[in-house]
Amino acid sequence: MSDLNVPYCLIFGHGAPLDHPALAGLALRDVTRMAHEPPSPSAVAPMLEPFLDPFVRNFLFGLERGAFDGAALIVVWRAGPGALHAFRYASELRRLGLLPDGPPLFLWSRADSTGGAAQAFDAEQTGRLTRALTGLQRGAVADRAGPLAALHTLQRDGAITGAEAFARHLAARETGTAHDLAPGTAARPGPRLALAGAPLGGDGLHRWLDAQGALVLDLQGPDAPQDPLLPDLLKTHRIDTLVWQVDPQDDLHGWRKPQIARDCAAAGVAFVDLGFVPSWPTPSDLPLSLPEPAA
Amino acid sequence: MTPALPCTAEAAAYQRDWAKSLRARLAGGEAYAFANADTPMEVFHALDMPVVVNQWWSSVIAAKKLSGLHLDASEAMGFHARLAKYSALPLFAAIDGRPETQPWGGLPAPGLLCARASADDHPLIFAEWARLTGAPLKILSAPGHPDPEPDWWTPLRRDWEATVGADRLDLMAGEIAELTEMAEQVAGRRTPDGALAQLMERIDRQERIFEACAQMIAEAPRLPVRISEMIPNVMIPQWHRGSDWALAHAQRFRDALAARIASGAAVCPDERVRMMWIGAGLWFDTGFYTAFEDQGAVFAWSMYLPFAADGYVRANHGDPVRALAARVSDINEHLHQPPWAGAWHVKEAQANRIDLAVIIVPSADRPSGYGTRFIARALEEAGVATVMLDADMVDARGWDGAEARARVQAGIDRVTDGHRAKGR
Repeated sequence: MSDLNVPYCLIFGHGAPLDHPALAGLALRDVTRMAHEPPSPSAVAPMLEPFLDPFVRNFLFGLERGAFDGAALIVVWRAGPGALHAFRYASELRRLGLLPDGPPLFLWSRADSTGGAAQAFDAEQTGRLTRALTGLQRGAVADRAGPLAALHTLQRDGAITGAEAFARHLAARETGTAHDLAPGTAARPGPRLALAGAPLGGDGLHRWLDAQGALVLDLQGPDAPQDPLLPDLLKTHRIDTLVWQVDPQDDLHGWRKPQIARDCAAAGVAFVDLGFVPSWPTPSDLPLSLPEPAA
Repeated sequence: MTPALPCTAEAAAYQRDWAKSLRARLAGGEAYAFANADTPMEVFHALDMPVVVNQWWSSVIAAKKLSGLHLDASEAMGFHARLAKYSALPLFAAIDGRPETQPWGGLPAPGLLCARASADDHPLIFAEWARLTGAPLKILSAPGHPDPEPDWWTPLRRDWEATVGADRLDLMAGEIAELTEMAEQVAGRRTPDGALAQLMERIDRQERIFEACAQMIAEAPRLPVRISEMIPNVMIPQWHRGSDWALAHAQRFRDALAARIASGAAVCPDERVRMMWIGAGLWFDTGFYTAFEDQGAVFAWSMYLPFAADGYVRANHGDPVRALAARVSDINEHLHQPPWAGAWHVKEAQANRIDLAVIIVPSADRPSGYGTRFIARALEEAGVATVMLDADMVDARGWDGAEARARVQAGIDRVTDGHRAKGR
């Protein structure tokens, strides 16, 4: 855990670029996948639609519980799915007096295009962010890429289980420390599995897959490789079966499924769709064993 | 039964003729743009490039009772049932491709695709379109406003530079320029000099006429025309905004409305409860909007007419591209996201003497479903009763009309009881 006495910055939003130069050397914690139960009673809960993104919901309950009150700033990464609504809801709940004041919220937007206007906009946003972070202590810039690659290799080689690898990825982002590369429990022999689909917050599905084979590639996790790299990854990781899931409120990741299924078919990899799986899955959310691949 | 305004049929006839002419232009090899409703389609109009609006085409498919067929087929293809339908139905119909299952036999492949990243899923939906058709795709950015004020509609008319923010305007103006270049390449011609400025000026005039229409309806002692008439009279011209026909039609609608109000005619002579419909239209069951008239309860408001002015009028300041950028930035977000949406609906409810707001909550179209509780809270605090309906705009499969009518009826009863208690 990084030093709690050093003013730190929180970041929310799947895919937030922790390696961005504007964040270099900061005490930084990614709270995107942290679970927070609503307080009882909750002033926020009645304002949240039942279909609200589960990570946004947890973030708002974290704010209500004061879980982030020690931070100097909360950066919301606009490009993360649901993140704009996390920012909008949090801001409005504060304005309405339903959320207590807490650390300032900063919306970090990025252009979706690549031309000159986009580059200028992104540079302007980086400048805004840098100004918002003025006064926060910056230390030595840690190497994230090296340990991250090493952790991917450990998992690919079956040196640690899928659940353990996932926990280490989450811990590195949530505590702002380097990835743990210590020896762990080796994956069991069996079919080589990949996991893809919507982001997960809990490791229940990982543990279930660890019992069915070797989970050697986790494409839903933080710092996961992107979809366009999938054909190569299936090959280099010698995947037998790719397991797909989305959360019960998903309206986004399902669009990626047909292409991923096509990639699997082209690579001769079995594609298994678990359907809707909660973001914090429990054994009762999962089948007894891995279903047969779709024909 | 109040007779329909003559201009209502004229609008529908124009759209049918336009569709026929579009098909003829496309059959002649002319490229068209397929774009989301919240994109700057003025770019295509200024270039005289045909454009088909995704959400309009979706409503046409639904109105033809074809949505169930295509949505069932999409699930069989592997697209799960919770994915957006309103913005994806045309894609599913295009994947189907059979002329007999499409309005007008279907659309040919577009020459260009355009969407704003105003919803997380729009870039993915349009990427699937691009993969299907091979058409070039332009995704416009939708960076969030970092510090929105509830009252957006007043400052955005003139002071949009400060209201939107120079950085976001620079980005959208730059992307509009890129879109223009792409459209010109696809069309094989340049936008005539001054065409966009002239178009923007005509759009401004058109929207101010619609503003007058909205004000006339709001101030009329009783509702003069149903929302099922307001919608085609405003939305068909909006799809062709700035054209000679659209401007002329707006004037015809205004004049017909004025005559209707002057005659004293009303949808319900014994009007007792005024309702507003919040959200996109219930395209597969538009009869819902008249279902309570026998007890003097009318749907007096939907967003389409008042939004024509508040969502579109932007002072030119000598830079039509930047004014267009000011229009497009946050255009859809104003209708759904806090604090904008609640404040605007309260303003409209008060102007229209609304008793009961019926809010559609499409749980499987989350960008439209999000924020609805904030809207309801703002309205309730302003003294407007609310009813929430879990429904999708184009997917009739989960629609329980009887249950929805019962919920609205309960809302009407609450309002009526309240009126009685106040001696009204």
